[in-house]
Amino acid sequence: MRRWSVRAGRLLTLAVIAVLWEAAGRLHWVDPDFLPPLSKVLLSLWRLLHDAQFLTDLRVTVAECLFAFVLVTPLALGCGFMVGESRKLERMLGPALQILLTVPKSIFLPVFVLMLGIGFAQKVVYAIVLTFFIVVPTGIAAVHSVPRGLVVAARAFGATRAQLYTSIYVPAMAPLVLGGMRLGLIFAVHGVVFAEMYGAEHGIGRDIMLWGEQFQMDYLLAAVLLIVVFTVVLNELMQLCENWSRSRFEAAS
Amino acid sequence: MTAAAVPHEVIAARAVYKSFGIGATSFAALEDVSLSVREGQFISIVGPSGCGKSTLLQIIAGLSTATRGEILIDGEHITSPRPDKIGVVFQEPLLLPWKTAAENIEFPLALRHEPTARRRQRSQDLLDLVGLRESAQLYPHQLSGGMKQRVAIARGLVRDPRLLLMDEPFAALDEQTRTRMWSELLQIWARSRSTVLFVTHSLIEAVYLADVVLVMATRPGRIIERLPVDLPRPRTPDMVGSEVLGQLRNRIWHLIAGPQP
Amino acid sequence: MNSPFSLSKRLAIALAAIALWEVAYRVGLLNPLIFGAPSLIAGAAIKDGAAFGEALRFTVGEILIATALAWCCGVAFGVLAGAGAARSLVAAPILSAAIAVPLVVFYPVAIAWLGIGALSKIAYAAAAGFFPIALATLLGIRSIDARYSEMARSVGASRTQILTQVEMRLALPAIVSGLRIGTSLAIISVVQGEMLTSTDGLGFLISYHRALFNVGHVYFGIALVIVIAAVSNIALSALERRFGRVRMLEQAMY
Repeated sequence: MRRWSVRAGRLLTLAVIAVLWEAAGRLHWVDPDFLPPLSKVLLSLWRLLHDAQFLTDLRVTVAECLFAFVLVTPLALGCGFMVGESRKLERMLGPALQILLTVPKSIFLPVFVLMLGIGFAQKVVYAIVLTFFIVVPTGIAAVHSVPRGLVVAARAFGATRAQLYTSIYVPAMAPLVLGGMRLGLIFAVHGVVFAEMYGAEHGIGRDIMLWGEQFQMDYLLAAVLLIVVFTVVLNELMQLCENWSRSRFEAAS
Repeated sequence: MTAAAVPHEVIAARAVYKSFGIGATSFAALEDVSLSVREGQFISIVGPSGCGKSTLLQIIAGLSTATRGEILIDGEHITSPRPDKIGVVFQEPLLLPWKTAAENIEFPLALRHEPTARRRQRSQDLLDLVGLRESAQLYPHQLSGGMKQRVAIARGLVRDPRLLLMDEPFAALDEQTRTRMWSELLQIWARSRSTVLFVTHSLIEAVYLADVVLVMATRPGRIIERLPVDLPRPRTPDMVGSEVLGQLRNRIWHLIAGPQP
Repeated sequence: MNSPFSLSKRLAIALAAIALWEVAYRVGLLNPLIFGAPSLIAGAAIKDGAAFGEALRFTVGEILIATALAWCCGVAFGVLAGAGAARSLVAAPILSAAIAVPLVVFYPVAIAWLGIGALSKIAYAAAAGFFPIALATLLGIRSIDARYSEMARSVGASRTQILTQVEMRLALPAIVSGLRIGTSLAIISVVQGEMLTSTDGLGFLISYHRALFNVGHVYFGIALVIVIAAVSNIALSALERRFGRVRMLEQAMY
C-alpha cells in the first residue's frame, strides 16, 4: 500500500507543477512572453516534431550522443578493468586520475574547437574525453567489487574460466558497470549538448541558443521539455536495469 | 527501614495493553500487564524473545504509548519522555561520537542550557560514581565496550532521576566484561540509591542483580510470575554458582519453556 | 594517502613536464595552436594580466554567490525533505532525476529571464549545485541510525534539538561529500555560462581569445580556472577530512 501512495505522491507533484505552469501564464502571474503556459509550449513541441529542420537537428544530436556513448563506454570501462586488476597500475595512475577528475574539463572545449572545428567529429571527441575520466573509476570499482572469497572457492571446486565469468564476475560487476554506463550516458549527452550550444551548425543545442537569443520562449521551452523528459526516461530505465542486476546478484550470492 | 517510613511506590503500571497493527493484522504485544515497584528496589524483567519486555520498558520510559492502561511514576501519568524522572540505558551505549565522555554525560544538561560550571561538576561526580575519572576527556572510539556502557549509565543518572530503566544493557558485551559490569552496576546502584528496572533475556543476570524478578511469557506478552530473590546483599560473584540462584533460575526456565498456562 | 612520491618529487616532476612542454613547442613537435606553450602563456599573463585579473575577480564572485546559495538551499531542502519518511521517498527520485538532466539546456532560459550579466550565471550555477547537495543531505539524514534520535528523545531533546544537534551532525559526512560535488558543479556551471553568453569573466575571455587564435591567452585562462577548481577542491577535501572522521568514530561505536 505504501508504494502506491509514494507513486501517487510523485505523480501528484508533477501534476501540481504542470497546473502551476499553465496557470502562471494564463492568469498572468508572470509575463506570458517570459513563461508561456504549458499548453502553448506543448503545441509548439508538436509543431517542432513535425518540422523537418528540427528533426534533422534532433537526429544529429542523438547521433552524436550515441557515437560518443558507444565509443567511450567500452573504452573507459576496459581501461578501468585493466587498472583495477593491476595493483601496480592503480598505484601509479590513481593519483593522476584523481587530479584529472578535479579539473573541469568543460573548459577545454575552445581547444577542441581550435583543433577540430565545430563539426560532428569535434562534438563526439569532446564528449568522449569528457566522459572517459568519469567512467574509468566505475570500471575500477566494478573490478574491486568482485568478492575474492567467492572466486577462490569456485576455483577450488574446479570452475572453468567461462564458468567463473558467467556465474561470478558478470553478476558481481553488473550493477557497477550498468551504473557506469548510466553515468557515461549522462555526461555524453551533457558534453554533446554543451558543445552544440557553444558552436555548431546543427543540433538541438544550437537551436535552443538561437531561440533564447531571439526570445522565442515557446520553442525554447518546448525543446528543453523534450530534452528533460527524454533524459529522465532514459535515466530511469537504466536505473531500473541497475537495480534489477543488483538484486539478481544479491540473490545469487 | 523504620516503622514510620512507608515504602513509596515509584512505578505503577496498571492493565497495560499494547497492540500493533490494525484490523486483521493486529496482534497484542502486551496484555493486561500490571506491576508495582517500590523506591530503591532493583527489579528485573526476564522473558523469551518477543515477549514484549522491551516494549513494556519503552512504554514506561514514555518513548511509546500504551493502547490501553496507564503508567504512573510517582503518581504522575507518563505518556512522553520524562528525563527529569526517568533515565534510560539502551542496549547500545549510543554515545555521540564527536563528544568526549564528559560531554556525553553532560548532554542532557546541555539540552536544558544548564550553566557550564554546574554541568562540569555533575559529570565529574558521575564519572567518579562509575569509576571513569581519568577517561573524562576520551572519545567513545577510545573506550572499551564496558566503559562506553558505564558512560551511558552515568548519562542516564545525570539528572538524578527517580528511576533508571535499563534495556538489556549488557547484551552486546562479552561474558567476562558482562560479569564485571554486574559488580559495577550493583556498586553504582548502591551508591546512587536509585530505583532500577532491568530488562534482560539472561536468566542468571536477572536473578543475580535483582530483588524481585518479573517473569514474562509471550504471545500475548504478560507477567506470569513475581519471584523475590532470596540472596543477601551485597551480591558476590560466587553467588552465581549458588544453589539458591540455581533453583530460581530453573524455576524461571520452567515457567518460560514449559507448557504455557 | 600512501603516495610513493613526496611533495618535492611531485613538484620536480611538474616542473620537468613544463620544461618538456616548452621544448616540444620550440622544436615544432607540438602544434602551438592546439597545445599552447608555457612561454605563450607567460606572454599572455604579462601582456593582459590586468584584464585576466579582473575577469578572475568577476568569475570568483559569481562562484562564491552561487555556491553559497546552493549550499544553503540544498542543505535546507535536504534536511526538510529527509526529516519525513514519506517526504523523502517522494523527493529523492525527483532530485536524482534532476541530476541526470543536462541542466545546461536551462541556461538560455536563464539568459532570457535574467539577462546576460552575472545574475543568470549565478542562478544557473546555484541550481546546478543545489540538486546534488539536496540529495546527499536527504540521503545522509535518512541513513542515520534512528536509535540515536530515540536516545536523544529519552534525555529530553526537543524535535529541533534532535535535528540540529544529533541528526545533522551524524549526517555531516554525507552532507560534506554532497557539498563537494555541488561546489565543483557550480564552478563548472559558472564557467560554462560565461563561455556561452557573457560580457565578462574567465569563460568569456577564454572564448574571446579563442576566436582571435591567441592560444597563450586561451591556456592562461584555462590555467586560472584550474587554479580556482584546485583551491576549492583542497578546501573541501580538508572539510571532508575534518568531518569524515565521524564515520570512523561511528564505526567504533558498536
